[in-house]
Amino acid sequence: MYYALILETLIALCSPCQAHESPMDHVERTLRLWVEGGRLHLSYRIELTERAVLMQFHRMNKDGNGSISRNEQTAYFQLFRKELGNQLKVAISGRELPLRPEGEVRLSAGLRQTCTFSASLADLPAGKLSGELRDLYSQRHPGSYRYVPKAASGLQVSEPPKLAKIGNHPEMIVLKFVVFARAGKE
Amino acid sequence: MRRTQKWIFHERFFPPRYDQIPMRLRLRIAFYILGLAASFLRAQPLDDASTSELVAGIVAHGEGRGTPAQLIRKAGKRGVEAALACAEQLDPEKPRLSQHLYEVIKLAGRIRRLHHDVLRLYDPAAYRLFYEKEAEKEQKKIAVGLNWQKLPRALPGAVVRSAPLATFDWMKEQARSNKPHLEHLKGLLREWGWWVWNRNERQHSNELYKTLKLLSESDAVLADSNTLIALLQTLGQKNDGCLERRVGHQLLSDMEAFAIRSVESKASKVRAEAAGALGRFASGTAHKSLLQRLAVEKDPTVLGRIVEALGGWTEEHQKTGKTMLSLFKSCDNAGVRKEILYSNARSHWPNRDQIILEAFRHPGEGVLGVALESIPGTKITPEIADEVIKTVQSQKKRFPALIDAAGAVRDARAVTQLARWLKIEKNDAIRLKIVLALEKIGDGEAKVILLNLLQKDASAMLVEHLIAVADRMKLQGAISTLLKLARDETAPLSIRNQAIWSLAALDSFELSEVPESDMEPTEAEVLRAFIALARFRQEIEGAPQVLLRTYRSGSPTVRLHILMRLEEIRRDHAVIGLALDSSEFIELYGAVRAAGATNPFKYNEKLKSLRKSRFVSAMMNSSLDLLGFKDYLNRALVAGLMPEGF
Repeated sequence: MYYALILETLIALCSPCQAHESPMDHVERTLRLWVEGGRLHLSYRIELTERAVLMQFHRMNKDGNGSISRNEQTAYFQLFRKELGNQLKVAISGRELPLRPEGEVRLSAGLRQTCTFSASLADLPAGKLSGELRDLYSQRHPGSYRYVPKAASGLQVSEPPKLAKIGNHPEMIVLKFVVFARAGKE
Repeated sequence: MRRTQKWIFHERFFPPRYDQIPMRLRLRIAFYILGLAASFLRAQPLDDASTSELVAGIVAHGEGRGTPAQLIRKAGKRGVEAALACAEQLDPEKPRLSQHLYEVIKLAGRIRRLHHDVLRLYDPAAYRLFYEKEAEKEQKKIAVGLNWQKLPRALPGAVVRSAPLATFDWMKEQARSNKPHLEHLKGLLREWGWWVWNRNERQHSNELYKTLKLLSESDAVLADSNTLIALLQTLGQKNDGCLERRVGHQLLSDMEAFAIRSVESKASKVRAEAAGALGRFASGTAHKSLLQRLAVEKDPTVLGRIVEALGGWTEEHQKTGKTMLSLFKSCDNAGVRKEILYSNARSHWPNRDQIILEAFRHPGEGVLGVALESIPGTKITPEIADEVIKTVQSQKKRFPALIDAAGAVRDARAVTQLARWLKIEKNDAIRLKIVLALEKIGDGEAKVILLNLLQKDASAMLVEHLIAVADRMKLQGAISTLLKLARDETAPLSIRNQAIWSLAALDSFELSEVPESDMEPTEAEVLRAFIALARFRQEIEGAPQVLLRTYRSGSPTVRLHILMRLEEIRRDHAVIGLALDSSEFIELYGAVRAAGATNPFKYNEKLKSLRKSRFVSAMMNSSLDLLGFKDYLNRALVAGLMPEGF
């Protein structure tokens, strides 16, 4: 009985208190990396707050009619994906690889947006190469993060994502990995 | 054998009882702890599992012990697709499994509170379930459990969220039945009450009140006081003070008549809830019936609810205020007196001060505390000031409401006692209250005390506030201390920022002298922003351009700092216009506040377009915490009606 009581008290103490929400909308992000067809693929999923989604719709609704048309949706997410892609920096063996968007931004239940990018590994020397993903987007959009491994991903994460300071900038999420590249193949 | 310290410690907290715990139970506890740890270690990400696999996992767990919490949470996040898959598996013969499945449906159905376009884009299955033609038919599959003998615990929440139309049908059926399921009805009414109170009901307010009306005509419901109470609670669960405008006038009037009848019920709990519900009806009839009941009511709980209901009344202040003063004098129940004071604080009764003065004559059981709490928002008469000062001088114990009241009366006679309390008080939050009270009094003696404290106090929180106080009071004597703090690399960043900002108001301090060596990049960014802000405050040439650059390159936190400081000094800057176009809430929030305080006329068009935006409107009319955004926007719009520079 004592233990149960103590356990319940601890759980109650650990549970968050009711207070004002932060004015900042935090983003919950999930990263996945894998190698396929000679390319490095990155799936970047963010889970937004309800407030952030409504603010996003406010911006998306250019004609102000209170309804999001297909064109408004496409225009908004194309720009969003481009801006996001510019802020995700992948480097392997010190060489920065340009990321190319793959497919559309996928919206799903749980207020999630998933963007997929890929980069060619063709110009890299063969062998075991270390790489790094820097998420500059996380500097301006803080929140929780996790890496979800994919079966037979063709790479190994050497350091799971963590916040790091690089140069004279605010902290950003950095993920380190090792990739097994084959020369000249895509 | 010599016992270790650890063991002695253990014995002190679990003296003889520990030995009395049977070995089997100890082993069981150890087994549970190991099981819990193993489940954490075993936990695999379920990201690659399909929705049907997740639901299959829950079904496979079936009637087994424990709860497949991870599967439920994951499936719930998959949205209405998962809810519909769960509905297929509901089985009255499997109560535990059905409970788990309804948990998923409840989680997934939460999305119904959002704007329909959010559903359309993010969860199309939810859009179909709630907004398309086949909605009712699909919802019936979810609401199937309403006809079971025993309801799963999660069912009311699940059906109110995910199957509202089918739930209304069922409730209407019960209203027409001679033997309704009163237990089931109570659970559903309670759930509807919560849902409406949280401002989550976007679709079916009309239908809900139609259903409540039908239930209020059921003899079986009227005969059961507990169900009647649940019905009245649901009726009264509107936290914005008025029922939906969309609900027809006749419907409202019928429900009001029902609440008026209920306020005369024999059961005191029914009368109390009816009074609470009547408080939400803004009509003369409701007011009259409450005042009539007040004249004959003896039960203190009911009296309290009537007083609370009358406190929100916006008409006939004179008559209500007079009745309240008379009740305060005649009723010797402290609870009722406190309720009168709470209502007094939010009302416009002309005799507010008389009621407060009366509280000084009946201070017991917390009455004085409530009266003091309402003083900062009241017009201070000399009589109230005298009573507060007498209390301050006679009280040995200090408490927050008394300190706030001492500040609110702005009377120098309180300074000596406040200074005494400041010396002995250890709690920083209360010391801060004393500092703010001294700031309000603001006489020579108070200034000396505050300056002295600024120079010597060791609490970072208090010093930061003292710097702001020195800024507001224009305390020239603080300059040398502020200079030291601004340059002190060991001082907390928030203190340095505040010192830099306040120095700009007090002195022509050269801000380039502020060192930023060995600072974290994030901290240095904020410090530089404060220097840019201070230069702008000092009106140095080129400062607006630097501030604009700082804003553009700044993090959301830096941007909010800039906007809030512009609001504080009421000075316009180009960043306000930029931020009003932002799609980040943090910026828009700061921008609306700054626009309202600096130049509401100039930003009127942008503010109007924000108010018109369906999505900003959806956000403001939801239960989301917006930190007063709606009020700031409305105030800025009203202020914008004045010509520029008025």
